[in-house]
Amino acid sequence: VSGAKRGKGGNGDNGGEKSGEIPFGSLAHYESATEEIYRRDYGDLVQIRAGQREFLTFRLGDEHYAVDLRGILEVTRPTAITPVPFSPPWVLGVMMLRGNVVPIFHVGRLLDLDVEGRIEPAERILLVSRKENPVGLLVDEVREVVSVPDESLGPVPPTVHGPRAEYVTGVARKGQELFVLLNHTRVANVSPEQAAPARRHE
Amino acid sequence: VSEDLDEFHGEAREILDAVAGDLVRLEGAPNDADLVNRIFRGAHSLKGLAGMLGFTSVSQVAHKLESVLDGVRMGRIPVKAHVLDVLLEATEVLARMVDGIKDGEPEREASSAQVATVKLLGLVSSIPKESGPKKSIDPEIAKLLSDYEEHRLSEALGRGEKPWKIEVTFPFDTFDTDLPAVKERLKHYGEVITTMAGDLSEADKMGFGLLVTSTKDPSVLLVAVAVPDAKISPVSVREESPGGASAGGGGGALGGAGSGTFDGFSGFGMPSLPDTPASALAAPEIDWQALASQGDVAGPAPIPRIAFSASTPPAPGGDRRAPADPLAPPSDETEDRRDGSDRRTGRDRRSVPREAPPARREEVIVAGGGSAVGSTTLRVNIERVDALMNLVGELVTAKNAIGQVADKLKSETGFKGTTLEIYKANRQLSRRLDELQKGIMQVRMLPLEMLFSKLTRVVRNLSRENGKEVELEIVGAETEIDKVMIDELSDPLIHIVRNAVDHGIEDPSTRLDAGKPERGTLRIVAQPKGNHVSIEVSDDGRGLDTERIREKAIEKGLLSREARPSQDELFDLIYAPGFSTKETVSEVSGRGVGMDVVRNNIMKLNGIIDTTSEKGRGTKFTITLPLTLATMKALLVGVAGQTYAIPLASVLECVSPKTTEIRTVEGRDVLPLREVTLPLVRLDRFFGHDDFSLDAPATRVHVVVVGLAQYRIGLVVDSLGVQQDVVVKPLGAPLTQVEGIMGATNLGNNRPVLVLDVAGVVNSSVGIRPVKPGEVRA
Repeated sequence: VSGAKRGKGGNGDNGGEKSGEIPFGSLAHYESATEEIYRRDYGDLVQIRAGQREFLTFRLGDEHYAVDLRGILEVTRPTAITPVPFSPPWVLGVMMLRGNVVPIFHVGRLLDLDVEGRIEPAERILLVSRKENPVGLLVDEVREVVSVPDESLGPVPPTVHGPRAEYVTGVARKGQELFVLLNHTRVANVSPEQAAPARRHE
Repeated sequence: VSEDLDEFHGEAREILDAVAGDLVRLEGAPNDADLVNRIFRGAHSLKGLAGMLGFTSVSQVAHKLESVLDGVRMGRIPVKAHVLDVLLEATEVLARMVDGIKDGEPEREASSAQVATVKLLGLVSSIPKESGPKKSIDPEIAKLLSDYEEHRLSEALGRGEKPWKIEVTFPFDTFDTDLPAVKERLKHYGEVITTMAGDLSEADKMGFGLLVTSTKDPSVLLVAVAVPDAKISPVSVREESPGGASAGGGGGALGGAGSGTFDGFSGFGMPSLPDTPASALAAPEIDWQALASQGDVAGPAPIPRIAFSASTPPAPGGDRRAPADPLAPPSDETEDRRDGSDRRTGRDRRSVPREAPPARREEVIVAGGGSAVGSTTLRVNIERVDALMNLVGELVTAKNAIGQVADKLKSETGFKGTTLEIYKANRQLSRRLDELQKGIMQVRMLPLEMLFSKLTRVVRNLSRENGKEVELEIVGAETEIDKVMIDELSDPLIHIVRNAVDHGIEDPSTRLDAGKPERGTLRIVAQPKGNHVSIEVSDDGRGLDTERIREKAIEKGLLSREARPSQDELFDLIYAPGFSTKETVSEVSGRGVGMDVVRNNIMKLNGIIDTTSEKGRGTKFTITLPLTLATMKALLVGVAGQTYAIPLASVLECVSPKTTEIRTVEGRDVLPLREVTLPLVRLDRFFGHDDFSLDAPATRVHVVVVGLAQYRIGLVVDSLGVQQDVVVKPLGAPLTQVEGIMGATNLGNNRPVLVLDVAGVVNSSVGIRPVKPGEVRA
C-alpha cells in the first residue's frame, strides 16, 4: 500500500475537519472521498494484518462492489471528460489529470449493468494501472475501506454470469453486507477487441 | 551500461559526422592543413574512445583510418578523389558499426568493416618510401618535433623558407590569449611549426619559444610578433638522412601540448621533481639537452613543468598536479587553460588515454575535436531537453488558463482596472514564455549542413558510377531544424536526390543532343519560412514522363484504363507503394525504398511535399516541414459540439463556401477551389458524430484545407476558432491507435481537446494504408 503510505500530503480541500475519523466511514462523507483525504487519513491507518485483506468498497447502480485496495493508485473526482471517437461504449473518454491524459472506463457499461440515465452526484474515478499507464474507472460512489478476514471471502456466485463473470473474482462478506469483488487488473487491461460488446445504449 | 552505450554512440557519431563533413570540405580545399589535422584528430579521438570502451572492431578501423589520414597530412598520400572515396566509405562504415553496437549487434557490419580496412590498408601501402637526404635543423630542436611537425618543417624548408626561433614572454594572466594572437599574426608571414617552452625565470611571466619558418627578414617577423622584448635567432639547417634526428628518452618525455599531457603526467604517479636550478633556465639560449635529461630523471614530465618546479619548489611529497596546471603547455586549445587552473586538478579533463608512455612526442588530441568549437559545445541528452520542453508546455497551458480567466473577467467587469492589469501581465508572461520556448527549441535545432554534406557524397558517388556529370548547388545549409526531424529527413532526401541523379539527369551525350549543357544541375535550397522550413530539390533533367507513369499505373492496377487523371494526379501516383517507372531496380537506388517511403516519412513529420515537373526541363520537389514536433500551433475548430485541434502545420487555408458550391463526384463531396477539385471530408461524419449535427442546412460551411505529403483535402467543420500553442499528449492505452486522432491537449480549462491526426484522416479518406508512427517500412 505504498501509495497510501505517503502520509500527510494533500491539501485537504474540503475534508479538513475530518481528521481523526475513519475515512469514507459513512455515506454522508462521500464528498470527502477524494484522493487527498484518502492519502492523508488513510495512509496512517493501513496495516495489513495476517489473514485479513483490505478492500475499497463502492457502488455501481444498486450493487455493492469491492476492489483490492492495493490496486488503487488514487481516488479522484471526475473533471471534464472528452469522448473519443471510434472507441467502445465502455470507454467514456479522456480526462486531464495533473497534465496527463487519462482514459476513463465506464465500469457499469463494461459489466453490462443497467446504469444508463441515472444521475450520480457522488461519481468517483478509481485510478488503476494498465501496464505503466494509469486508467480511470468510473464508479457511482465510493463507500469505505473494509478489512475482511480470509474466511469471509467466497467464490463467484452462480447468479453472476455474462460479461460480469469475466471481471469478478468472488464475493466478500462484511457483517450483513455482501460485496462483489472486482478484478481491477482484468478491468484495467481489457482490450477493445476482447471486451464483450456491451448492449447498445441508445 | 546502456547509458554508457548511448554516450559512446552519441559521441562517436558526433565525431564521425564532423569527420565526414570535413572530408567533403577537404575535396574543395585539398591544401587546408588545419582541415586535414582536424580530420586526423577526429579519427584519433574515435580510436581512443572505442578502445577505451573495448569496441576493438571500431578502434581497429579507426586506427587504419588514422594511419591513412596521417599519410595525408604528411603529404605522402595525395588528396585525390579515390582517396576521399575510401576515407568517406570508411567513415560511413564506422558510423554503421557504431549504430550496430548501439543496437546490440556489434557484428552486423563485420564484412563491410573488412572491406573498408582492406581499402584503407591499400592506401597506406601506397605511401612511397622516403629516400634521399633531406634538410633538417639543429637536432636539439628537431628532436622536440613530432613526425607531423617535422614534415611541415621539411616542407617549409623545401619551399625555401628559413627557420627562426622567436622567444617571447607574456604576463602570466594573459598568455593564454597573447600567445595565440602572436601565432595568428605570424601566420601571415610564414608558418609556426611548433611552440616550445621558453624563459621561465620570472614567476609571473611565461616564456615561449616559437619555431617559425619564413622567407621574410627577421626584423619583419619581430614587427609581426609585436611583443616587447621578443628575440629572434636563426636555427641551423643541415642535410641529413631522415629519422637521424629521432629523439631519445628525453624527447619522449615531452608530452606535448594540451590535456593529453595531464593524463600522461598524473597517470605515472610521479614523485616530486628534483629542483632544477633556476639559473639554467634563465639563460637566453635554453639548454634543451639539459632539460631533456632532467626529464629523463623525472619520467614523462613535459619541460614546462620542470621549469615550474624551478621557480616554485613543491612541498616534499605533495601533489604536484595542482600547481602544475596553470602552466599547462600552450597549444591551440589554450582557450580552456584558465578553466583548468580554476579547477585545480586535471582529472576531469576528457582526453584520450594513452596505452603506454609515448615513445615520441605526439600531438595532443582532445576527444571531441580540438577545435575552438569543440570546447564550447555541450553534449546534452535529448531527453533532458524534452523534459524541459514538456515543462514549458505545461507553463503554456497554465498561461492559457490565466488568459481564460482574464477573458472571463473582461466579460464580467469590462476592460479596466485589475482586469486590464491581468491582461498586461499575461501578455508579458506570454512573451517571455515564447522566448523561453524558442530558447529551448534552439537547443534542439541543428543546421541542415550535416544532412546536406551526406547528400553531397551521395551525388558524388552516384554521378561517378552512372557516368553523369552533375553540378550540385546547395543554398541555405545553415537553415536549422529540429534534430529529430533531421534524422527522419535523411532517407527521403537521399532518395529524392538519388532519383534525380539516377533517373532525372540524363547522361552527357543525351543532354548535348537535347541542347542542354553537358553538366546537369541539381539544386537543393533550404529556407526558413516562419514556423516552417522548406527544402526544394530540383534538377534540370528529363522531367517526369506522365505517359510512362500512366502506363505503369494501369499495369500495376493503380489506375483504370478509362481514367483521365490530371497531371497532378499522375504525379501523385509516384508515391504509391511499389510504384517505380524504372524497369530494373538500379544498384544505386538499392535498399528497396521507393517514393512511398518518402511520403511516409514526410507524413510522420507533418510535412507537405509538392511535385512539379516539366517534360524535358526537370523536376522539382518542395518539402515543407514544421520546425519542430515538440510543440505545435493548432487551429481550434468546432465539430458537432466538440472542439478539435488541427495542427497548423497541415493547414493551408480556411474557406467558407456556399453549400451550393459543393459538388458530388463519384459519391464524394468535392469543392472546386481555384483550379483544383478539392475532396471534402465532413469531420462530424468521419468521427461518427452524425447524431449531433444540426439538421438545418447551413447556407455556408467552413472548410479547412489541409495538406499532407502530396495530398490536399478539405475538412468540413461547424465553426472555426482561434489558433493556439498546444502540447500534444498521447491518449494512453488502450486508446493509442484511434483513427484520425494523434492525442489530446489541455487548453487550460482542464478539458482535454482532441488533436486531429491529419495523416490518419487523409489516409482513411483517400483509401490508402495509414502510416502508423514507428511502423517498420517494407
